[in-house]
Amino acid sequence: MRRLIAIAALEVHALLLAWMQSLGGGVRTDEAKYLLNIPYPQPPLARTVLGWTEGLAFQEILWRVIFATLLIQAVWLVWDIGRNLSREHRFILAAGWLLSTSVLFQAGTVMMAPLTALFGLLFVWLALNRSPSASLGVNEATGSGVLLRERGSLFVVGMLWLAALFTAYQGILYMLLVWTILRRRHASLLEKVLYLGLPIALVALYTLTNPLAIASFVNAGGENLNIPFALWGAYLVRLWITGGSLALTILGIFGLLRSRNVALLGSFILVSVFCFVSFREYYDILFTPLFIGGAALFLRHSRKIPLVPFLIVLVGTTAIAARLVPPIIDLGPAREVMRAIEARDQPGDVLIHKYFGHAWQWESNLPIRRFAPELAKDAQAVICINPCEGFDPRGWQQLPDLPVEVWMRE
Amino acid sequence: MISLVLPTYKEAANLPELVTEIRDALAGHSYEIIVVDDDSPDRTWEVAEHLGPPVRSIRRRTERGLSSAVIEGFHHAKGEYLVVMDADGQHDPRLIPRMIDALKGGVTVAVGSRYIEGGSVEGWIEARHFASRVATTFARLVTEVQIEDPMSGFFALRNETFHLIVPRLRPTGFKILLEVLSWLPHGSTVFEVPLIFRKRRKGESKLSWRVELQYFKQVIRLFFNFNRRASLRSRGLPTVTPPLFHEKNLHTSGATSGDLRGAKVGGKQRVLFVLIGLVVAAFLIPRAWSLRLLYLDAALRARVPAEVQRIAEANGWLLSGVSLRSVEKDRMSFVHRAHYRGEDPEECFTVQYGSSDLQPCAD
Repeated sequence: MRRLIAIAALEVHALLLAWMQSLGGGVRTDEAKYLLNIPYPQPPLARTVLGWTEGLAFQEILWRVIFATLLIQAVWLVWDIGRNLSREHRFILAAGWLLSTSVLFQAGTVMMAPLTALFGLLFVWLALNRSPSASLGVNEATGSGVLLRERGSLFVVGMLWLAALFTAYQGILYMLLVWTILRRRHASLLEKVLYLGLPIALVALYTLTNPLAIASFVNAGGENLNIPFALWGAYLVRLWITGGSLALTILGIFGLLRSRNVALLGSFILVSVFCFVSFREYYDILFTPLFIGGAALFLRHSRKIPLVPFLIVLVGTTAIAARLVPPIIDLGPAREVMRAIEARDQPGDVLIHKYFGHAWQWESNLPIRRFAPELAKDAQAVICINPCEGFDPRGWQQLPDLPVEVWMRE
Repeated sequence: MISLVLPTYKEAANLPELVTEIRDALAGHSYEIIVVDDDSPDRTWEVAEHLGPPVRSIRRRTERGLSSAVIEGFHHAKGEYLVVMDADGQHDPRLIPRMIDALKGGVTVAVGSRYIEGGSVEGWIEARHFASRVATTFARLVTEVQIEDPMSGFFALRNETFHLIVPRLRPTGFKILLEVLSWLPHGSTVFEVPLIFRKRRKGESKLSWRVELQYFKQVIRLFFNFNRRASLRSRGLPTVTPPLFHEKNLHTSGATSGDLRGAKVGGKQRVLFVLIGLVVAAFLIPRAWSLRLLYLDAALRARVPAEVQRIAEANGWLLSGVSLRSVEKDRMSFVHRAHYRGEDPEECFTVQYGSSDLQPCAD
């Protein structure tokens, strides 16, 4: 019963976070990519499923609720990671997950980073979560010697790894965790190559079928060249801070360093290198599962950390971290503008000048093209986010009271 | 001694006749019968008490469930050999001596099986047969030993085997044999005895949608419980069986004594994983092959993106809406998909490099 109440309370929290994300009055350009199943930059698994619901009027809130639920209810995995800890330490881990800025601000977003982080948490759980007697090879029931071998698990691990890679390329950053999971389950060399290597080979093969994905890698890798190199490190540290709201970050990194757990430490280094080269604010959540793993290892061997003071510190550091990266509330005028255009119910395409986010496509029930003067004759509306070069307004009327310049055919 | 556990719920009408059958079947054996009743409204526990020794009755007032009843009965058992069967007359007690002989011969678990040669089910409709087969298929995914009827409610094992695995058993739902088979140590052997599953004599079946849901939850839990499903090798268990039981109904968990890594089950899963990989690759390889020149030819590597950009700008398309299908020396083909809410129109075009004349694709 208590567990049901906890699940219900967490679900209310998830719904609240999903609702908060919907207050922005639209979707992010990246969210639109996945909701519309646009074939870059990520592999097709998750976005294909999202794309199946494209026709639903409530697609946005549906997936915000699902993603928020997955992220918040994942705290049960965190709880189980702390299975061998005291109850207070388990609460510390759980609070670390739920109150980290990354989880608070990304629960309810329809992005691949939270999904990748969930896979990461699953891999951390698999890598860390086993009976303490297992490593000693002792039968808990009789105390006699045992040889441990979990069957069925290698296949499941392989399928999870395949799913993680086909959800987002960033899943590759948790490769060391998967290797460790296979090793601890006494996978033979052939099995390690099969369950770890075959999914990597398949996603590489997929990438060859989608040159747009390769182009987006190149673009993403070059974007940070516009940022002074001195700031790259600062941005990385910022991701560490928001990934664990500082308190969990410190506990996690201490745990990683003290335990010298190769899989976790190696994954942390991989994610850090990736984020150093290709910074995005929402990559902070990729660190959160690793900090949870590090914190769990730290708490296993440390004296009791008092729960209430830690929670106070955690709430405080979350508030500070949130100030560093406040959530984006205003997601632009796409929704308002497209509704105004569609209200007029005219035939023809909508042209937008010049660069625009995919959110405009998601908000539209009409075909959208880039503005070119020769295309205007067949269009019903022209949206000038930037000043429209070569646009002749004769025969058009401007819609009033919109945040951008919008022309409709008279 | 044999300890026979009968989990009951509203079987007062069936119990006396069944006990008479058991007495006939086990004449000459030392045995006890433990009736574990879930506080039946028809007072089955009272009927059991009146049947006298060797029948003992346990009345459970707060707990429910067949699996937990069996485990409780096993805990109270004094015998070296534990047997469980249904109390509704569907299981034939005359199979018990053969199952005990198998245990004495070194087998770890003996199971009354409906689905081997000589076994059958009386009185089921086709739908029930089909449902049972589907459920059996799922059950085989989680058991250490692959047998034909892992969902049988009629089986026997040694008391020491039970005590070895009982810390890991979760007493939920109907299918306790599934739990037992999932936790058997390496080298365990299971012997299946043909069982004719008779029609229920009196009373109602306990199978309901709730029970079926519990079953699937049990299978899912066992499937994902790989951290806890440690295979045990305990010195007390016999792993060598006499020639009598080297029959087609004898199954062994794990590999032979020289290799404790469970090659048989792992091998099936490796094959399945490879098959999945091949299916995915079968979709991807043709597409990657048709784009090979884009990667192998430096000149095309520079030219094709510029051509795509030119065509997209001329038509007002976004680059994200253009997916290359094939790249050849003098032409390319692509699919344009206009992404917006609702069904996206899709068109395939072929174009010569440098030309703006888009031709529909041939296929």
